[in-house]
Amino acid sequence: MDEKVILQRLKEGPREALALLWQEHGGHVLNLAFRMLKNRNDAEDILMDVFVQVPKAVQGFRGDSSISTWLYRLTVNACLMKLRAQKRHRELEDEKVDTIIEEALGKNEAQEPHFDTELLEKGLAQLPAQTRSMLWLKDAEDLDVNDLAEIYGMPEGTVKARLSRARHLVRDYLKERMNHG
Amino acid sequence: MADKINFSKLERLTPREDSWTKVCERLDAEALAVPAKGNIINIKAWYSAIPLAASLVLVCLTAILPHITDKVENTETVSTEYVSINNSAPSEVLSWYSSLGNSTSDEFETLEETVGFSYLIKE
Repeated sequence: MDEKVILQRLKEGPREALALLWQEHGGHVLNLAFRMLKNRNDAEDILMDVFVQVPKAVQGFRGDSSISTWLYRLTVNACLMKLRAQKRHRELEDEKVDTIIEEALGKNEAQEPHFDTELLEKGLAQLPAQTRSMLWLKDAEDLDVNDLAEIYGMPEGTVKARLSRARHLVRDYLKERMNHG
Repeated sequence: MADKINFSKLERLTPREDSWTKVCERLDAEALAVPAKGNIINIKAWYSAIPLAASLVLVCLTAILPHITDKVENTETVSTEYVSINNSAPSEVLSWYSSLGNSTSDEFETLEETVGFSYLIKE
């Protein structure tokens, strides 16, 4: 269905339009929240919070950006608020990353050697939550830099610089660990 | 982009089955919690009424105030008593005062300090 039609229906208020949005974007919102918070339960909470606030928030949305960009912005803001509330800006300790992988992949899979993914998770954990989510949206969700600039409310140049720095940091971490291993 | 980080091996999560139901429940609860619109005092509707009322009060005050002040002036008449310098000042001060402006010299005509002081203290 056309985005404008969905938007119009959302503003009118029927639950079906919200359900459609959930089917289309629920997974993306969940994964973005998980990348930021590194906790499955918190990510589910954010997913639900975002969709509960959509019917009200959509009344102020003019449709200048795509619905997905707008949803990502709501998600990032909700995650940042949660992180602030929990005073969890400091990144989780290394041992917690194992739990995250276990939760994300399931126990059996986690017991098998997934060194690439495990290392990548640890590498990503070196980044601040906002930068990590930015890198996820760019490299995993294929968003444009101008969309990211809109979501994070910063100039495109800053977004590019942050992405570049983040990639270097993750790669350096991976190289270092692989050489030691 | 060539230098992208490869996230393809990372598992993508899907929302839990009961999450959508929970969202619907929360939305229903919110809808029930919102009181009927008629019971809410709509303060925003007053936004235009407040400045209008204030302007009206100002106009009334501007019209009424001159009448009030006139009345006050009429009731509180202040009498001014004029005291002649001739009755109170000593002769040195009087002669200095009357000679002011009559001299042809360019110098200032000053009253002697002690005379001036004694006059001021007396007063």
